[in-house]
Formats: sequence, C-alpha cells, structure tokens
Amino acid sequence: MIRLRDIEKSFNQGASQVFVLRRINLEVEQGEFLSIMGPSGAGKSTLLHLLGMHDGAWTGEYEFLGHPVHELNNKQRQDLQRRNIGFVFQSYHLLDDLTVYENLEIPLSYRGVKRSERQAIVADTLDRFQIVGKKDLYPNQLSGGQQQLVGVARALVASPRLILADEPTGNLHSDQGREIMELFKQLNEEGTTIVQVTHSDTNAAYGGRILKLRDGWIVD
Amino acid sequence: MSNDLRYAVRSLVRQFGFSAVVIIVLGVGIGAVTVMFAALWGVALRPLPFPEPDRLVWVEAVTDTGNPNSLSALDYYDYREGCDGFASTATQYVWRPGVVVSGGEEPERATSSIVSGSLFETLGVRPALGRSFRSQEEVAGGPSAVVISHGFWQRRFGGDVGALGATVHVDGVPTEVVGVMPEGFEYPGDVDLWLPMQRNSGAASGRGNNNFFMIGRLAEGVGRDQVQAQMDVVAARISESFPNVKGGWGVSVVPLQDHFFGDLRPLMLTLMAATAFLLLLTVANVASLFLARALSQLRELAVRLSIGASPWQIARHVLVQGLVLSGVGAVVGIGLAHLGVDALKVYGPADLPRLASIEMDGRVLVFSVFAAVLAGLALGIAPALRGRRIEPTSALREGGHTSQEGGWPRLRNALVSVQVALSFVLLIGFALFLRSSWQLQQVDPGYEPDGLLTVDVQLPAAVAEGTSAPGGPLGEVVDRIRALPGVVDAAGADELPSFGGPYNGVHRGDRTPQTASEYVPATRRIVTEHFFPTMGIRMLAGRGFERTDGPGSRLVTVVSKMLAERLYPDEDPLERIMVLPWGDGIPLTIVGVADDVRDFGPAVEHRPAFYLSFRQLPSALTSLRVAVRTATEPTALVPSIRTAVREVEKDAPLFRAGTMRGWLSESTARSRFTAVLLCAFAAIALLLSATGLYGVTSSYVAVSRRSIGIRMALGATPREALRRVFAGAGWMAGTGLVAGLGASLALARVIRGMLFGVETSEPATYLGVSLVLALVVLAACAVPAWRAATVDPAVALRYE
Repeated sequence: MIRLRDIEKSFNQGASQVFVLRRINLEVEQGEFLSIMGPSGAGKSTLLHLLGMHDGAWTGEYEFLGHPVHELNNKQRQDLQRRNIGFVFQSYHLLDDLTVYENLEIPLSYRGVKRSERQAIVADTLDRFQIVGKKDLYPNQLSGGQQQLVGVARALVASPRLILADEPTGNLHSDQGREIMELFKQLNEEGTTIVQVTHSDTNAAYGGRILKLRDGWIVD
Repeated sequence: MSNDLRYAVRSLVRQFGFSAVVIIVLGVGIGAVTVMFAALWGVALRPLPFPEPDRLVWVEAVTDTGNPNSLSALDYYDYREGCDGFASTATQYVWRPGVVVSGGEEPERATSSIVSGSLFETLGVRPALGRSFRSQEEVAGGPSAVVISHGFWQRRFGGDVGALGATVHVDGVPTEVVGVMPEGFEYPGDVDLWLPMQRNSGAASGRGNNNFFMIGRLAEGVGRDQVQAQMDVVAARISESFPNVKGGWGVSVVPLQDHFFGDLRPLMLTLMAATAFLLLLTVANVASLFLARALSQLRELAVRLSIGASPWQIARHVLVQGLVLSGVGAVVGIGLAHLGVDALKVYGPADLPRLASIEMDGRVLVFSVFAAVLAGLALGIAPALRGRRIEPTSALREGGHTSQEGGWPRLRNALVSVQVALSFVLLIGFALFLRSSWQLQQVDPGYEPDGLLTVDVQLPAAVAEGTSAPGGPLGEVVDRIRALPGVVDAAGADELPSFGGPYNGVHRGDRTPQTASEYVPATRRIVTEHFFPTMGIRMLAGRGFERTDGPGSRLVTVVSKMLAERLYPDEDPLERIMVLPWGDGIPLTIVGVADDVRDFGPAVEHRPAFYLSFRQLPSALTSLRVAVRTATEPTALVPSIRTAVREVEKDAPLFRAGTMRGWLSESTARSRFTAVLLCAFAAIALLLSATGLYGVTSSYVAVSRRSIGIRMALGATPREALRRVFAGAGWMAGTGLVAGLGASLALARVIRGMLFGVETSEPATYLGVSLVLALVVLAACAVPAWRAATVDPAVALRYE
C-alpha cells in the first residue's frame, strides 16, 4: 500500500540545514497495523503527516496504492488523500460548532456525496459506533472518550483504506484508551490499514509491527 | 453551500459578541453610505420626471465676459426659428412672481410661472384635465387663462372637475382655469399657476430685455452638439446685428438635468466619497476583527483540510461567514438608512432641491445590497486566502505554537494603518468644512442683520395699479409698520440684500457705450426711504432716498462704492449721471454712495449695485419685502404687522416672516450641513480607528506575554515593554498618518471650490488633525501598554 524510498525532510535554520527525517525507507502492506514510536522530536508526527499528504515539502519517492505521490501535484495528492485516508488526532479536533451528526457528515459533503447517501452512511456509522443517542450533541457535551469515539467514526465515515492516528489515546484515561485501541484492533481485523504514532508500549502492542524513530532516522 | 450557510449562521450565533460588534459596525457603515447614495441619487442623479429626459436641453446666453445669462424674447424667437434640431421649444420668464389669488374666503398667495404654451408639450407632459394655452391667450389683451397645479386644484377646488372653466382672480384679474397639471408635475420648481407669456408685453419687447430662459426637446436622432453648432450660427448673427447689447455674446446648450442639478454634484459626490471612506474604514475595522478571529480558527480550518476539505471549500466556508455577517449588517444598515433618510429630510439644508423626494427606493436598496456584498467579500477574502495556505502539519501539532500567532500580524497592522489614514482624510475634510463654515459666519454682509425682521407683503395687482398715491398702498404699509410700537425703523425693497436679484448693465452719462463690454453690470434694487438706516448699510457719501424723491422730482439713484469706482474712478460721483438702458436710456442723478453689500449671500464677493427710489417707479410694485428694525424680539412684532397690513388692504397676504439672521443662517446651511455630516463621520472614524488599534495592540500584548515575561526575567524594565508597545502602535499609526496626509492633500484640491476663505494646504489644519490623531493613538494604546508593563514574569512563564 505504502512505499517510501529515501524520504528526507529538512528546513533551513540560519546558514545550516536541519533534518527532521533522514533516508526513510518503509513499506506498509494493505491490512497492516503499524505503530510508530520514538522520543519527542524524533519525527514521528512529521512522518505521519507526510504519509497523510498534509506536507509536500520533502524529497524522495512515495508510492501510495501504486500512485507516485512525489510526482503528483497538490490537487492530485489531495484527491488521493480524500479517497483513501482518514485521520484521528490526539486532541480529537472535532468541529465545536457542529453536532456529532454534522461532524460525521461533513467529510462526506467535502467529498461531494449526495445528501440522501450521506444520511444513510452517517446513520450506519452512528449505529456501528453506538452513538445514535449522541447525534444531536455538541462536542463539548461529550466526555473525552466519547469525543475520540466520534473522531474515529469521523475518520472512518468516508470508508478510507488507511487510518492515520496521531497519539489517539494521549488525552484519554486508561479505560477510555483501551476501548479506542480495541476499536482500532477490530477495524484492522475488518481490513482497514492503520498507522498510529504512540508513546505507549501497551498501545503499540495492539499493532503488528513497530517502527522506531530517533532524530529522524529509523532505528529499528 | 447550504451547509456552509447553516454552519456559518450557527457559528456566528454562538460567537454572539463578536457577531454583534461586526454587524453594528457594518450596519453603521452600510447605513451611512446608503443614506448618502439615496441623497445623491434623489437630488443630483435621478432623471427629471419627464419622458425621454435626456432629450431635454437648457439654452442660455453666454455674455462677452463668459458668464451665463438669460435671453430676450426676441433672441428666443431667433433661436427657435434658426435651429431645426428641436422637436419643440419653450420659454419661461426668469422670475417666478408671486401672485394673489382672491375671491374666496381668504386671499392666497400663489407661486406662478410665466411660460409659453409649448412648455408642456416640450416637457412631454399633458395637462391631466383641460388643455394648455391657445395662441390668442398668448397675446396681451387676449383672454386671460391659467393652468393650475394638482396641489392648487386640490387646495382651492377640493379636486372638483368643475374647476375647469372656473374663474379665479389672479392679482385681481378674472382668469379662466383652462387646465390642471397631473400630480407630481413640478416645473420650474414648486409652482401653483402657469400663466401665458404674452408676446407683445413690455417684458417681451426689446433686444436688451433678457427676461427669459429657453428649453428645448431635441428632435429624434439629433445630438446636442448638432444643435449647439446651429445655435452658434444664430448667436453670431445676433451679436453682429446688435453689438451694443449683444456684442460678443454666444449661446450654450446644456442638458436640462445638468442645468438644474449639475452644481450640486460636487457637494453630493464629496459627501458620497466621505461616506465611501467611512464604509471602507468600517470594512477595514471589521476585516481586522475577522482576521483576528481567523487566527483563532486556524486549527479548525486545518482540521477541515485534514478531513477532506479542498482549499476552495475552506475559502468558501470563510467567505460565507463574511457574507452572512455583511448580509445581516445590510439589514441593520437599511433600517438605519430609513431613519437617516427621514432625518435628512427634516434636518437637511432646506435649499437642497428635491430634498423632500429622497426615498429608499428599489435602486437605493440594490445599492445597499451591492455595498453589503462587496463588504462581505472584502471581509472574507483575506482570511479565505489565509485559510487556503494553512499547513495542517504545524496548525495541528499538539500543543505547538503556530507561526501565525506571534508578533504584530502584518495584514492586521496594515488594516489599522488604512483606518488611521481614512480617519485622517475624514478629519481633514471635517476641519476644512468647519473652518469654511466658520469663515462664512464671520463674513460682514455689509449691513447689520441682528435685530432685523423681514416680512413679504403682496398686493393684488389690480389694487396696486388702481391707486395714484406715491408708493401706493405698499408705501402706506411701510409707513404704518414704521409707526408701530417696538419698531425702530422700517423700509421696503423689491429684494433684500443676500437674496440676489436682477441686474442691469449701466453706464456713465457722459459716454455712450459702443460695445456690450462698456456697460457695467450691476445689481438693481428698488427701495423705499429709510432703507439704508433700517438695513444698517453705511452711507459713504451723499444721502439715501427721501419721501421727496417721488414722481415729480428728478430721477435719482444711490450707487454702491464698487459701482461708483467703476463708473467714476478717481472722481466724485455725487451729482453725476448714471444711465439705465431702459427704453432710450434713463439718466439718473447719483445722490449717494452706499457701502458694498454681499447681495448674493455671504459666500459671493461684492458686486456693483445701484438703488432706485420706490416712489419714482413708472409702475407700482405688487409686492414688497419689508425690513423692520426692532427694539424687541423681532418675531414678536409679526401679529401687529399683520394687522397693519390688513388695515391698508384686506386682500394683501403677509408671508415669509423671519429674521434676517435666520435667512443668513439658511444661506450657509449647506456648508454647515456638510461640516456636521463630516464631523459625525470623522467621530465614527476616530472611534473605529481607536478600537482597531486597541484590538491589535491588545492582541499583540496577549500573545507576546511569554516573550515579554522572558525579556523581563532577563532584566528588561517595564519602560522597555511600554516602549515596544508604543513603538509598534506608533509605526502603524505613523504609516497611516503619512498615507492619510498624502491622500488629504490630493483630495483637498478637489473640494477647494466648495470651501470659503480656507486655504486647503494650510499647515495648521494638518498639524491640528495630526495632534488629535496622536492623542487618540496614545489613548487607544494606553491600556494594552500598561498591561505589557505590568506583566509578571513568573506568572507569564508559568501560565505558558
């Protein structure tokens, strides 16, 4: 699904060049559950956003589902991302002014899905995540765990083939974290590829493979 | 799109305080610009209410000195015959004489216009009832006919169709009502009666009797230039044939609309520009708020990008928010504009034509919506562009600081500078008009207006003509008023100083002019005895008029100082002859020289003038403007004056009572009105600039707490923190001030023609305005600066 070849990312600091990622070579297969670990500043989130095509300023080769991302322009990258990738964030990043239902609906509207179809998909998703009763609530009316549950549901609502999760349990207490990780495990078993960034060995253990970064290098 | 709209509304409702401020500020801006557009459209731009108004033209003579002038009736006939580019032409008497309509319970003064019967056809409006004049009615001695206005028909006849064919007494002459004009027909101005111009009347005879204006409707497919070319040929012929009265004269053909309202355009456009500046300023102010809000929305927009929004969808989301706010702002603005238009009608200068007909019509509403859409787009465009450039990687980084948060954000700073610049321009405009208005008030009109009451008395013409007493009943009216308790002195005149008046070209008795330019144009006043002491006009030599200056004595005149110097430079003018070219020329002996008076209002320089004795006129006046110098409150005497007039002639109405100071004040009303409007605009502009500056400075201090804390921890003093805040704000304000100075100097040149006695580039004005702005800047920054100076490093760093 993903193939990175000699990916490097750097920025200029005065006269010198500071590298954030160095010669990253990585392959992720369809259906895999990969955990990226490493100390702060190792480049984990940078790599995650690079995979999610949020960041275009890097060198090397990146193939995603057979598409050479490094050769695509911004619009093509965005189209590829919208069709295939969902994001889950540590701070949930639900849109505060929208209800749970609308938070789930908006990724579909951005993708041009018709209203009737959107209603059906969102209803299915609410049902699947057992949050039908919360659909009219606003994010600030939910607990942290519930917000992250909605965050995961939002990432999945457009049926992406890859979920990128940036410390998805970082703001949750352990019980809520465990529930989210169980959910990821279940999704992975159902065929969704997952790449997560985590500091937690326990959470990393839910995945099949662990990638360790330090100072921008893959160390293991 | 519907989702964007729904979410935008919800988001703005949830941020009620922010939305309310934006809506109110935008509402004021849109409301102000809407009122001014309504005024500009209603007063100066709205086409005349006649069919195909662009085919209507105004024809006027141009004297050898380049001044516009009226035509003689004979000129009119020549122009009409010599030009085939008109579908129709008409003429009207230069004055709109007041007449007395009697016969009912109460004599009524009515305004009249003496016109040719072709007037209505030329304007393209037929009488609603009856007809226009027949040719036999346009001859002196023919049947007397009158066409009446809809308003007069309602007032006098209660809208009865039987009015047609009825007889009314116009100045005592039985006259048949032959037509009723439709409702809303007003030409020229608010007229009650149209009377036929009589070809063989005294006013219509003689090449030098320039008593008429001409209008024309261009023939289908004929341009104004073609007609002008034909008329030039006729004008050259007239000039050649009558060199003593028309030598060097030409003719000018201008659109009728421009003639009536063209001179208002500079004033209206200036006010419109000032209002547009105010709208720009409000947009800049609100855009600044919007940008600040957009910074706090960066993370939200990044989330939207990360869940699949395209840059265009992000931009649309932000733009829709701007449009929703401006839409609600427009609703508020239109509501305020309704109130503004009503206020304008009540408090606007009374001499502004078509003031009463200003309204919030469809065109004005379309303009408001247009202004609102532009404002909405202007609000959203910068945040929208910013939103398109968001990098989710940094914006979503957990707990990180985004690059957009720190320091003085450039675009917001620029917007504050724009606000300061626009405020400066508005303040300069206000200062210039204020000074102009002040200068106008300080002008010495050449007489003493305080303690002076004026009333107009109108006699039915038949009554005036039927008496043989010198001065007639009007002379007696003045005598009786003068004898009233509380009256110091009283005099009458055909027109009072400051109200303009007719003028004649005169010449000295010992020289016969060979060309038109040898005549000295001078304002003519017909006055009673006691005129000069009553008005407070200083006599510089000789005497004023006395009762003995009547029909049997030698014909005398009093000339103004300026006319004396023009006629008899370096000579004593007393007992010299001045010739008034009426008929074969009337020699008048100069018996007095009076000081110069501003006959056309305080804004118009002195012009030569001469005075004739009321008692020496060949025919009696039918109306008189009476000036009464009082020892008490002037208006308290009106009832006793009314009684005195009734004692002389029961059918003589008394009208237009007021103080001379009040009339003078009215004549400067436009200038004052402009100053008051600009004052309001400048005050709003200052307030907005101050809040804009306060917002940016506060925001700077809030996001810089940590760096200020670090600096203080490293040894910086509170004074250093103060200096940084004031330096940042000073830079923004200074940039705006310099830009505003440049713009003001350029724009001041444009309004120079509308100012009186004010030098537009006078440094004192600019220094004063700069000082006011500097004080406002200091006040706006004081609180944020104090906050910066009192940052506790320990608290600031722990907080971060």
